[in-house]
Amino acid sequence: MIKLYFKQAWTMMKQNKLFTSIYVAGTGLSIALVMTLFIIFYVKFAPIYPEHNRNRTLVVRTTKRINKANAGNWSTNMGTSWTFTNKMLANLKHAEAVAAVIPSWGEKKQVSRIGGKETIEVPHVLVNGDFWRVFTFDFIAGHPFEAHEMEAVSPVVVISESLAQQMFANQAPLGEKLYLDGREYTICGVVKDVSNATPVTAGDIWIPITHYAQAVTENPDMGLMGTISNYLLVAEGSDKDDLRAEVLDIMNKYNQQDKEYYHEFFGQPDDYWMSTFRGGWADENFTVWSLLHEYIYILLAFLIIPALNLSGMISNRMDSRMSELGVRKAYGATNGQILSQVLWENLFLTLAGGLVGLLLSYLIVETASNWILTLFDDFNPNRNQAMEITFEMLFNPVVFGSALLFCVLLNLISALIPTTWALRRSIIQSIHTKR
Amino acid sequence: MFKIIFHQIWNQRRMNAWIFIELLIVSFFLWIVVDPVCVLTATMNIPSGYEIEGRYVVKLNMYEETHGKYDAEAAKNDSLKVEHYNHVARLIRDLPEVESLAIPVQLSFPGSGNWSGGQLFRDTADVAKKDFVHMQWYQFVKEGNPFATYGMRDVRTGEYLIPNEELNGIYISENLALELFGTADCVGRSIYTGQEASSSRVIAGVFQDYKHFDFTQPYPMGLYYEGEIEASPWMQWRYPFVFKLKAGVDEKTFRERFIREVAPQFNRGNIYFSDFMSFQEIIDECNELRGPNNKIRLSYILSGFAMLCIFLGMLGTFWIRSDARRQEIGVMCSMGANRHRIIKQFLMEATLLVSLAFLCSIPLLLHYAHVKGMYVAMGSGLYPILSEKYWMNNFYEHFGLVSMVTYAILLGISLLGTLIPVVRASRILPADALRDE
Repeated sequence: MIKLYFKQAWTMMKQNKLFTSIYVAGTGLSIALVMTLFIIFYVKFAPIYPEHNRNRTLVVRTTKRINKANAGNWSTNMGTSWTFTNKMLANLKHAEAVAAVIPSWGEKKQVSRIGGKETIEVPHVLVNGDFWRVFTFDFIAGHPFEAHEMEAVSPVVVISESLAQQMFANQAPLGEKLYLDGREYTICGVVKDVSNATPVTAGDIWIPITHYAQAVTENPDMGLMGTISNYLLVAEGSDKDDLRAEVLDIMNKYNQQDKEYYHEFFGQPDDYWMSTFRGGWADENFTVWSLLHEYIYILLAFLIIPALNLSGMISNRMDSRMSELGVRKAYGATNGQILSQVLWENLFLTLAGGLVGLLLSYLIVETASNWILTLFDDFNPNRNQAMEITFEMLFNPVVFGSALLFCVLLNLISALIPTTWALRRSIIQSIHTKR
Repeated sequence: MFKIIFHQIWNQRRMNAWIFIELLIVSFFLWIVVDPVCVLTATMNIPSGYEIEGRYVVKLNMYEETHGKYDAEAAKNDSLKVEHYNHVARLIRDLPEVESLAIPVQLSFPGSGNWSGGQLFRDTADVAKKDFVHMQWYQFVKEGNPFATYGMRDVRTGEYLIPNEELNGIYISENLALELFGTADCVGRSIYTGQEASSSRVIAGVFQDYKHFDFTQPYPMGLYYEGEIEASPWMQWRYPFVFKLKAGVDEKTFRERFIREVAPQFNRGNIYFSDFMSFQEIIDECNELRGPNNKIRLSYILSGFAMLCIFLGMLGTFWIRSDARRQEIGVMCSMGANRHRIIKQFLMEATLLVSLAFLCSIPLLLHYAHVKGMYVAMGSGLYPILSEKYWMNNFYEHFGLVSMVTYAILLGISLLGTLIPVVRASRILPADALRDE
């Protein structure tokens, strides 16, 4: 039966080229924008290389330091101090690892081979030893820096595959030395390249955070404020709420013992997805609804406006098919059967539009990747970066499944009401209707 | 003609209902996305209070202890560091292409990442009542002329303000003067920057309103000299250099020469040349970093989507409608109506539909604007000091202007969508059309 419906739909597509074109264009536009939105958020939230543990990760990034005597006297920073990560978050019962990261945010450092004249500017990331446990990098050669290398402030670094290729060509880079910030570093590992679309981990060179005095030196005027972002991997057998409660308990104890200041974390530790919406600084107005409602409105607009468009067209087409429907009813077809026929026919068109839309969304994301992935960010430290879109970001079951779901949804929203209205007419009225 | 058109719209009410609802929703949606575009565009066009052409910022940096080139001996010698900073200032000032130099404190230049502000009191009675005006402040090292270097002009003469180098003086913006005294004629009066009597400063000049960020409205501002360059572990972030080039200097050639010949002379001890950017580059980067560019991009995309939907909707509706009314068109032609009249009738029909839908959306929009508020381009956390001289700050002017822009866009795109099928239909010969009758 469905085969017959599709056959009929195909014939009607050929007969009504204008209707088909506008229908496919309208559906394609809607699906293209919905899927672009979806891909943007998929890249932000979903487990992708090298952040496959996003679903098991909690994040603490910003804090506000408030004077206990005068709440109007406060300051805020885009990170926490090394003490916070290294002492307060050390030995958490419900955390498997706590990564400390100072992302590159587009800043670059010059590196060169020892004795070589050519220097290359590369984005760098400062990380601790646990970074390699929280984030799942593919090591092509070598290994991450070990805990003892972190503590000994040993000059070792991990570099990306493309930097290794650029600096050492066909030579094995492992154990080779490079010159960075006036010092020699030994390469202890080479990892598969990371896209700038994952800005926290993206870089070409990963350096032990303890090598940078500014990052780890205590500043008594700053309290727990600093420049470090913390990524806490929930331990096997624990859940996020256990870990969250444990961290909050530590923060509360710290606030009680500090006589002069207290630190406000505004609901952190966040789930990974939620942390991507936090701006540069601690914000007391930050809630799930405050960040989601705008996207929900946009999503609804992307669905409802084209659906109304299509409904109007389907309504017109139903008018022109009234006598056909009347004849089918006269020969015993039930309203349910006719409704099912129309929905299947339209689904065929909607799927054609969906395919066009999905391809269009890939084109949009690919051609505008440098800015579209950060389109919804109010604070965009990763600006002007070339964002490589990888295969797994676009071609995966979640993206295809969502595209299909939106097609079915759009089809139902647009075809159900006009068809139901058309079927309310009696057989006589339907057969006598002439357009 | 109107009567006929109203009849047509009413007779085809079921068909019109879909496009009418779509127009209604799109009117609402389009208004919301057009609002930030209008406000941001207008705000970015408010005079900035400084000049961009030929203005550059130079930053220095210092090697950390962990850096291979770190010189522990040089790090201890504060007087050497200060002397080197003064040497860099002299080097820049003596360049033949440079007209003037200023040394701001704490990144006091437009679009910088630093925003420092504080409370300002009119007199000791206000201090007691804690009745203050909030302002942003810029601080400068005594040496140099920030007004000529930045292009900040005296509100009375329109010329660059001339600093009198009185250490205890303060220069304030016109909007700050109006907030404090209700007049810009306040030179010589005293104000307090803190709660102590010693925080009193004398107003030494009033300059035109100034915008630190390109995408926000001018905020009350005070500018004063802080003293001389002082050595500290963080002096590399505290003292950048800002200079203005002489008129007629070829900037491309100058930049190349500066990087090649001048900048290497800034490296001494642990201090090294780090960054060199024009005001324009700093502002462009700031707009990218702090969201206004993203907001405008998003609004354009959403407006484009809504417009395309309406275009397709009107195109589809009027294509089907003009096909269904072939006989009517045939009769009109045979009765002597020309193509122009037929097109006009359909366009009038579309205009009425759009206008009616837009009118119906107005109460919803008014409710939205009252409850949610309209878009305001202002930095977060600032006190809402919004001047009434800008239309964005007046509710009805703001609402009316954005509504007019939205209506014009909606009508334009709808008429375009209508015109294509109607022109096609009007080309039909009366004999062909009447054959269907």
